[in-house]
Amino acid sequence: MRQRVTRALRLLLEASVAVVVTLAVLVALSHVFVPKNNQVEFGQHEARANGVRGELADTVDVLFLGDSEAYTSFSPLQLWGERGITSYVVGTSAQKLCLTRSLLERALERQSPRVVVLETDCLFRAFSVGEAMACAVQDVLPVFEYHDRWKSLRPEDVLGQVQSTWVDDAKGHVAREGVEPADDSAYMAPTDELAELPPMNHAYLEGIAQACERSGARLVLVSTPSTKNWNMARHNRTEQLASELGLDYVDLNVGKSRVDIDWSADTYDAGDHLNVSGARKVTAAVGGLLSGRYGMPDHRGDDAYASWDEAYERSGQGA
Amino acid sequence: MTSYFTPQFLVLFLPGSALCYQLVPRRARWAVLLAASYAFFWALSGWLAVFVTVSALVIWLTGLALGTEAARRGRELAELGADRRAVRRLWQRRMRLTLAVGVLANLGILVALKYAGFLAGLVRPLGAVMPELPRIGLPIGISFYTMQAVSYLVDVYRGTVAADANPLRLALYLTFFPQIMEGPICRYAQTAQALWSGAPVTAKQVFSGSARVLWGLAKRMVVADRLNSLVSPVFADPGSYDGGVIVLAAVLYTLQLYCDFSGTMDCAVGMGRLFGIALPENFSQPFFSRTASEFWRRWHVTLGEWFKDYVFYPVSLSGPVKRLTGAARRALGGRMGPAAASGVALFCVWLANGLWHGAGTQYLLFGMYYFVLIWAGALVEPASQALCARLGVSRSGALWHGFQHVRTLLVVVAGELIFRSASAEQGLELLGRATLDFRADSLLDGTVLAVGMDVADFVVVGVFVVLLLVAGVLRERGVHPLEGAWRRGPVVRWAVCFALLMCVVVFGAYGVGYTPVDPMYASF
Repeated sequence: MRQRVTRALRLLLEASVAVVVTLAVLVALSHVFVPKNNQVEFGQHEARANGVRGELADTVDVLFLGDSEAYTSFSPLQLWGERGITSYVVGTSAQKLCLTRSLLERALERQSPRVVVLETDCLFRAFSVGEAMACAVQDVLPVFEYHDRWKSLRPEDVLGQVQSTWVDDAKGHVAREGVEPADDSAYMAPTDELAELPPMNHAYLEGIAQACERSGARLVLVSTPSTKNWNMARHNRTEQLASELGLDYVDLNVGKSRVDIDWSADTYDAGDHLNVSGARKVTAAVGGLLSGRYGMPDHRGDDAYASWDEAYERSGQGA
Repeated sequence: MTSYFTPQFLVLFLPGSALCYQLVPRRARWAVLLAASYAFFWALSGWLAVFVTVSALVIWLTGLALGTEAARRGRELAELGADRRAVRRLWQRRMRLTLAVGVLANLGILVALKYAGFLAGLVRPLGAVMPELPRIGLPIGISFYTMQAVSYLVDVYRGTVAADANPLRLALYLTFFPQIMEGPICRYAQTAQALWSGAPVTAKQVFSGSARVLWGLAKRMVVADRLNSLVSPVFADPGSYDGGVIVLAAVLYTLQLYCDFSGTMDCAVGMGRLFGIALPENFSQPFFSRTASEFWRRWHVTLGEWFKDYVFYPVSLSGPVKRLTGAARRALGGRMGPAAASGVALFCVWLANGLWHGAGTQYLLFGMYYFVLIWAGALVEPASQALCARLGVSRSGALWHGFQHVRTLLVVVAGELIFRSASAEQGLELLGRATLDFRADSLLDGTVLAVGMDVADFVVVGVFVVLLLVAGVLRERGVHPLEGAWRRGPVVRWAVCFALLMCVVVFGAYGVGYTPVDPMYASF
C-alpha cells in the first residue's frame, strides 16, 4: 500500500514538473514568435485592426468594433475632419465575438476610449467552443497564433521587445468604390419575431460590456444599414439584448436614427456593404450622435493631435 | 466538435472522459464509455445516432435468435437416434435465414443512406423512373460500425463467439468513440468484453496512449494538413497543371492520405489505451511492401482482414466456386487453375472494397484496378519465375527487391490518383496526363512553389518523411520507440511527449493561412 502511494506521488510529481516545464517553454516560445511590430512585414495578423496599438497612448476617444460592416461604414478620418473626434475601427472580416473581445482588450492596454461602438452584425455570427478556446489560448500564449513564423524568425525575435509603431493611414476604415444597386423591397419589413442569438454570444457580449466598464468606456450597439445583413427580427433581438444589459442601442436602419441610404447608389455589392457614399452618410450620422449624445471632445487645433491632421491631409479629404 | 482534431475534443472531451472513467467505480465504467460515445456521435451526427442504435438492436435480437437456434440444434443433435446430418442441414438452413435477416437489415440501412443516390444515378440513364430520394445524411462511421455489426453476426453464426444478451454492451462495441470515425474495424472478441470490464488503467498505458495520440497528431497536423495547401488546389482544378505537377500531387496525396489515416489510427489506438483498451493496429509500414497484395495486408489491415474472413473465404468455399476451382485445376493445372478460379472471390472482394470507400465511379475503378493487378499478378507469377530463372535474375537479391518496392510504389501512387479523382473518367484522364503529358520543367522552374507550399513547407515534410522512415525501419525490426521510452525513465518519457507536443505546436499546419484536411476516411 505504502509502495503504491509512493509510486502515485512520484508520478504526480513527474506530471507536475512536466506541465510546468511545458508551460514555461510555451511562454518563452510565445515571446520569440510574437511579431515584434504590428506590421504585416513583421508577421502581424489582422494588421489593419491592430494598427490601433500604434496610436499614441490614450489619444483615441472612440473605438469601433465589428466585422466588414464596421470597417466599410465608419470613417475615422471623416469624423476627425468634421468634428475633431479621434477614433479607430478595430474591424476584421467575419469577426466573431470571441475575437472582438480579444481585440478590444488588446486595444484597451494602450487606449482609454470614452465610447466603444460595437457594430451589431457580429452579434449573430456563431462560433464554436473550440474557436472560443483558441482565442483565449492565443491571447495568453501567442505562439499558438504565430507558430508559423518559424519560417521567418530573425535573431532579434529572440531577445527583442514588442514595439507597435505602425498606424493604418485610414485608421482601420476601408473605402469601397463602385455601385451595385440593392433590391430593398423586403428591407426592414415589419415583424415581431426575434432573431436567434447563437449560444455563447450573450455571454461574450456581457464580457465585452464588462471590459468597457472596467476601462471607463461606454459601450454602444450600432446597426449600420444593410439590406442583406439586417432585418426587423435582428433589430428586435438586439433591442431586447441592449435592454437586458443596460446598453445604448442605435439602429441606423429604422426609426428616428434611420440614415437615408439610397440603395441604388450607396452600396457597392447589392446591399451587403456600403460604398464610400453610404459610409459618408453613416459616419456623418454617427458623428452627430457622438458629439451630441456622448459629448465627444473636438481635438482639432490641439498640437498633441497633429498626426491626425497629417493623416487627414494625406487622405485628401481636406482638399 | 467535428472530429478528433478540434481543441474542444482534445482539451475537454477526451481528458474529461478519461478522468470520469478513472473516477467512477469499476462496475460503472462501461456507462461512462457508452455515454461519452453517444455524446460524441450526437455531436457529429445529431439525431442520426438513431441508426446506430437500430443496428445495435438488430444485432442483439439476431444474435439472440442465432444463439437460441444453435442451442436447439445442440439439443436435437444430442438426442439418441437423431439423424445428425438432417438435423444439421435443417438448422443450418434456419440459422442462415436468421443471419441473412440480420445482415441484410444492417446492409440495408447502409445502402439506403449511403448508396441509394448513387444507384439511382446509375439506373436513371437506363430509362428507369426513380422518385427523388430524401436527403437524410450519413451517420458518422456508418461503414465501419456496419462491418463490425455484420462480423459479430457471422461470428455468432459460426460459433466463434457466443451471442451477447446485453444490448448495451453491443451498443458500446459499435459506438466506442475512439474508433467510430475511421476504425479500426474491431471484432467482438477483440474489444466488446474489454470495453465492458472497466479494467484499471496503468500509468504506463496513460503515457503510451498520450504519446501515441501526440505522434498521430504530428503526422496529421504537420504533414497531412500542410500538404493540403498543394494537393487541394491541384485536384480542384487539374486542368490548370501539367503532368509533372499532377504526378507530384499524386505522390503528395498518397503521403497525405497515409499521414491522415494512419495518424488518426495512432490517435484511436492511443485513446483506446487511455481507457485500458487495446485496439488492433491498422497499419504495418505499408510502403515497405513489395507487391500490391502485400501493400493491402499492411494498409488498413482490419479492412483487409474483414474482407478476407467475410467475403473472400465464404465465396472461395462456396459450392459453385469450389466446383469452378476443380474444373480450372483440371483444365489449367494444379498451380494455374486455382489462381484463375480465385478471380471470382478476388473480384467480389475488390468490388466490395471499391464500393465501401464511397458511392462513386472512381471508387469502383479503384477497386477494379487492384483486382486486375492482384489477379494478373497471381496468374503471371509462374511465368515470371520461369523468366527470371532463364535470365539468371535472382529473386531474393537486393536488386530484385528494390525493383519490387519501386514497382509497388508506382502502383500505389497511380491507384491513389484514381482514388482522389472526382470520377472514374477524371481518374483515367489524369492517369493519361500524368504519363503522356509529363514534363519535369514545372517541377524545376518554381511552378510547384506557386501552388500553395513554399520551400520551408517542403523541407518540413521532407524531414518528417525521414522520421517516418526511421520509425518504420525500427518497427519492422520489432523496436517500438514510444513504448520503449517508458522503460528509460521519467526524463526520457516526458522528453518524448514534450518533443512531440512542441513539434505539433510549432510545425503544425493550423491557424491563419491553413485549411486542415477533412478526415478522409470519416466519410467512408
